[in-house]
Amino acid sequence: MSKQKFTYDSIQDVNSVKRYLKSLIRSIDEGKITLTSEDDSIDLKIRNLLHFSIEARKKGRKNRLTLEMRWTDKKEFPIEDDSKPVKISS
Amino acid sequence: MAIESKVSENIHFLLMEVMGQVATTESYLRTFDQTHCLQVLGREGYIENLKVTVENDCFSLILTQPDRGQQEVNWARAVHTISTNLKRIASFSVNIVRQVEYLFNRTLWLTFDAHSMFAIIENCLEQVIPALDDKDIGLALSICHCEYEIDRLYLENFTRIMEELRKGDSIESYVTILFIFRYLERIGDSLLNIGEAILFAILGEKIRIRHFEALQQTLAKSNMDIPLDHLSLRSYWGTRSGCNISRVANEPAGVPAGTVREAIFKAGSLNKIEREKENLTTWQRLVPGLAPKVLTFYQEDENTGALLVEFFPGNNLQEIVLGDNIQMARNALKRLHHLLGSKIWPLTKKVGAMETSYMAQVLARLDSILQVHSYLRRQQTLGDLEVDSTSTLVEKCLRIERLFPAPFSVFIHGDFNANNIIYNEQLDSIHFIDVNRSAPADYVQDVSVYLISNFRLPVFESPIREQINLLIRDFYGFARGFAREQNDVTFDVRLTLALARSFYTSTRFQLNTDFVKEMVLRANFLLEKVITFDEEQQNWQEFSFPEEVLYL
Repeated sequence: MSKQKFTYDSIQDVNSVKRYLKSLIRSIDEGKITLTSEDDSIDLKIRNLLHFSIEARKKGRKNRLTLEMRWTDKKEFPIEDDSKPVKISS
Repeated sequence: MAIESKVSENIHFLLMEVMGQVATTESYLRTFDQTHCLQVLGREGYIENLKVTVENDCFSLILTQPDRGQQEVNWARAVHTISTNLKRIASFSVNIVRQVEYLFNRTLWLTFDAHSMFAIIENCLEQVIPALDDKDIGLALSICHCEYEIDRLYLENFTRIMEELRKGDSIESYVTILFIFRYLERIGDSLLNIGEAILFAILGEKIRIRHFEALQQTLAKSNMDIPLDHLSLRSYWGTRSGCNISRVANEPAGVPAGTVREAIFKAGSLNKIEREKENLTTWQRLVPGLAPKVLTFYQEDENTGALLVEFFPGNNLQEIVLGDNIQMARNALKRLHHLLGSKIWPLTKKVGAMETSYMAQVLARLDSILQVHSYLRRQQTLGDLEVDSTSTLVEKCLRIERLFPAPFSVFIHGDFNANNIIYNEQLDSIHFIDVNRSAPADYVQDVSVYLISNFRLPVFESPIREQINLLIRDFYGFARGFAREQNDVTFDVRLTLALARSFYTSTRFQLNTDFVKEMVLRANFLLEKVITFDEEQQNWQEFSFPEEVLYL
């Protein structure tokens, strides 16, 4: 099974973070998020049904908010063709 | 038997074996008597065993008795180096003996003078034990000097062989002869290592022979006439300047404090040493007593030079920041602010646009940063947002930087790390050292280098990190205050670019990956902020430096 991974890590001020989140929402609206890093690219097709979780943590002065969306791609069912070849014999 | 005497005895044995090995090698090359050859090959294993025994004993001498004095530890380290190099000399002898079977024309070999080289080597080996046992600097130096002599003889033979080879006869034999001389020349290198190891055992410092000679010359030229047997030497190995820096003093044991005469000895590339000398003179003229006085300058050859300069007692600001004397840290900082803001900067200020090159400096170093870390960002897209790679960020800011030359220049230190600033608590005075990069430039460069040299100290726990944060805040506040007084309206954007540069380039000296990543992310953030501001075409006078990046 092929595995693709994309990571982006940065320090931002709140305004830029909002810009990034808005861009993500626009992609969700379009039903697809494309993430690229030089030659690598990942396309994530959004399904209508997905796991969505929010986790918040506070430890001393450190804060963390994790948003997670998780889903499985629709399985492409092979179309079964029951028709049997017609055999013509004379 | 005490371990010292065992080591001492074994190094004697090893030396005698190696001397035997060298002598037998020479006999074989003269007589071609096979028994000599077999003797040399047969002794190799025993020599290896002896060397390992000495090595084991040296390490257990260092490790098993923690209360052992520094001198004994140095002695053991030196003996270990000597044994390694003696073993190497024995191996070179074996290599030489093995060459003989390829010496098709033996009469030809006999026309070469190998004896002179062997004589020097044997004479040199005889001096090793007396030099070590009697701590005789003169003998140690004479061992080191053998290498020059051996190199000279090697060159003579090499030149002759090259001439003969051009004629095209007996090529195989000449190449073999060249190999033999080459091994003899490498024996010379090992002898030099042995001589330097003995110097280390005596002085307690590693010093290269060339630097030691430069030191002798500079001391002789200065009025600090310290006899060699009263010389104390402490080198600073933690610096990254590429120069050899040592503190020299005449402090034999028992001399009361106050009578000690000390100086700093620096040896290195002539270019750097000369620049340092010039800048020391300039500083002396601008603010007498701030930077060390030059005691002597010595040019060794066209590439290397040495300086003997005044030694400042005290602590550097890095030691003070990391120490637990917060009052001393505050006093030092107060003195530093006063010195920069009320003396050096106003005194040396020259009005007129001064171009800066913060981004150009990052671009020039990107490759060497990448060699250590791969945290620099690649070009990315997240949905419809484009994210610039680090090099694109830097290139975009290179263009923006041109819009904001500094409104004036001052004479800056040029490498304003906290450990290049000395504070003398008793005199409440600040001193600058390592000034080879001083020049008229944007004061923001010194500000950013100083701030980051504090930030990047790898201490993450409170209360020390809080103390670092406080001192950073005070210095930043001082610098911003100075900028306002001077009506320097582009201070914020220049500081942002200069800090990004300091964050990026600091990563070369850090291997703590999380911390490096943190610094790269902060640098990226700073440049992105400048770029976004530029794209939105806002008024640059309203750009404000995001102060939070200075604190952990």
